[in-house]
Amino acid sequence: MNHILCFLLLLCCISPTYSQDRNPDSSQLQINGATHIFTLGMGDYQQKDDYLSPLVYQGYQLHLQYEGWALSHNRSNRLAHQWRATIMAGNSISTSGYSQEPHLYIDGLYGLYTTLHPIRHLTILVGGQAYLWGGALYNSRNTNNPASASGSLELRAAAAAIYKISTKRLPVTLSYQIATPIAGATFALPYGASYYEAFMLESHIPYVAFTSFHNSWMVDHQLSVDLSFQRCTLRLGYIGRYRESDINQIQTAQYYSGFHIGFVVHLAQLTRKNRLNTHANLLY
Amino acid sequence: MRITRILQPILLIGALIFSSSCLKDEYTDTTPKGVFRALWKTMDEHYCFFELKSLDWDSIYQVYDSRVDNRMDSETLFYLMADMLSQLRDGHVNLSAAHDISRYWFAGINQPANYSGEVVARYYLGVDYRSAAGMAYKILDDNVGYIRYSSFENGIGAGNLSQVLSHFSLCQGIIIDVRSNGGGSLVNADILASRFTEQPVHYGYMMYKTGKGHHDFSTPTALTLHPYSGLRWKKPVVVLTNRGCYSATNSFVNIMRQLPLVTIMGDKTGGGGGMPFSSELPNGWSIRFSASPMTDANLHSIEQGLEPDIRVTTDSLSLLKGIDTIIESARRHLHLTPGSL
Repeated sequence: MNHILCFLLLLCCISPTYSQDRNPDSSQLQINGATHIFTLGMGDYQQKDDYLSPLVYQGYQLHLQYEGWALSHNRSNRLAHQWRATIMAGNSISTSGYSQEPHLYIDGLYGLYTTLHPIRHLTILVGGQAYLWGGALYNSRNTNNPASASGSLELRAAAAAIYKISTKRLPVTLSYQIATPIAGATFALPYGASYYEAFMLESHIPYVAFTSFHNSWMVDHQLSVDLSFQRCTLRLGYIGRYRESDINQIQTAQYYSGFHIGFVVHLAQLTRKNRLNTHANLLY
Repeated sequence: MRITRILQPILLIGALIFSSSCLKDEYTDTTPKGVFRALWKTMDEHYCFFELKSLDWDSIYQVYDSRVDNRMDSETLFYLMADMLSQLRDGHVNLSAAHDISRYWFAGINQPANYSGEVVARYYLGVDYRSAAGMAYKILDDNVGYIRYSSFENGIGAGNLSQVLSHFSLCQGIIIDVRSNGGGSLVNADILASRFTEQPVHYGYMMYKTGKGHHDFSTPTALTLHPYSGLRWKKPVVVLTNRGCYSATNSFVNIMRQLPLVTIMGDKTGGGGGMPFSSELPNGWSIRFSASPMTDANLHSIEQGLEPDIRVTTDSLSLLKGIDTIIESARRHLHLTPGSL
């Protein structure tokens, strides 16, 4: 248990930290405390990538996710900061059953939200995210087009709702997040181009495309339930990520629906007055 | 009322979850008609040589679609589709199923082989040849170096190739025998050829399809051979070819024939000037097809083969005596050719 706690604390050290408040009454931003969430999950995965095959592949995906939240406030408003990194890997089989396509993707984001409190115990977050995603898909049966790489940088509109149910025995936090890209740039080879021609020859093949609603859409959402026990907070949740694109006459799609389990760690920071913030003041 | 206000958004989110998790599959018709039409459509949208070969793919569809019956078994369907694909006259077009792979043996099947592996192994390489990076090599008794490279799928290490060329350092010249080499990696072709030039050489162009139309191609990308930065060969070279030189071997020959001290000797190559891609049919069969056409430096397609500089053939009588007349012609040519650069 001590080893696990040390490992978690080490992980927490890599999350962004902010300067301590020098003057509690100043207009400088103050951090009330950071929440770190670690989850592991798996679920159903479907994909299609016309560059490799026109068939839909179905299988599974595992994901490991780290997410962090922190609140900051100045005189005029309260802002919520979010950062998240996810590793996703899995395998899928064609509808014919004759071929497989393993995949590996990683993503990361930074989000900034304004907070609203329409009713007691309910926090609504509205804001945006900068999102970076990349990875590759591999088909062992293909010849000169065995793999398809993906990568994009997106600006996303995002929102979240967090509802705290305080009971004497078991405080529960329900939360829902959703985000969708507004605009971005993605790696996209032209229709029939090969990676050999794009990267091994002295060619000038364009492989970056602008993305928006006209050629790409994505929904990234999570529904979570945090159960705060005496010594730890357990998170159970659903994660759904659906993406489709039609760029350079190549259609791609990834649909992931999974469940995850993990734990929530609150790392409250000491203020200059050496006062710990209470759980009620934290976002999660 | 309070519970209802909490449950309503949860139910809506649940509906969003389960209604958005299914990817529509538009490629599900596994009947013979469905598989046939998927094959025809794949080739129609991706194959790159319809214009070069003056093929009316729509007419071919009409002919073969009328012969497809949803009651036919998979083997009959396979060979019917293989017959349709043979109209393309392309060795890079293969339909793969669990029981067979369709192939077009091109015109070479009715042409002299101009190569005997047994004669080369017994009378030229013998038992004291060296082997490195997929190459069998030996100094022949008239001080001519001989390299037998049977497949460009065999990776060529820089160190291996330097050792081979060093071994031949006192030789009059080198014979590179790529007869019946069916191809492999274009990268290996570049690696090998880069040892035989002192300066960058423009040797061809490559294009890719930009859309589904038969005429949708990109601006040609110039292909340039850059000299290897280390050990290079500066003496005469003869490259031996036959109808079995295909794909990456065909590209290698296209590169080498641009170089000043290289002579191509033997028979016309088999061609294969389109980089192949792969796709899949609804029943799981795999289809390979030419997707990116390549040309020589004058924008002439190399799909249908390259003529040698000096045409030489083998004859069965000489082969019976253990004499490969193409190798012998190459040896005489090297002895008569002026020396290094």
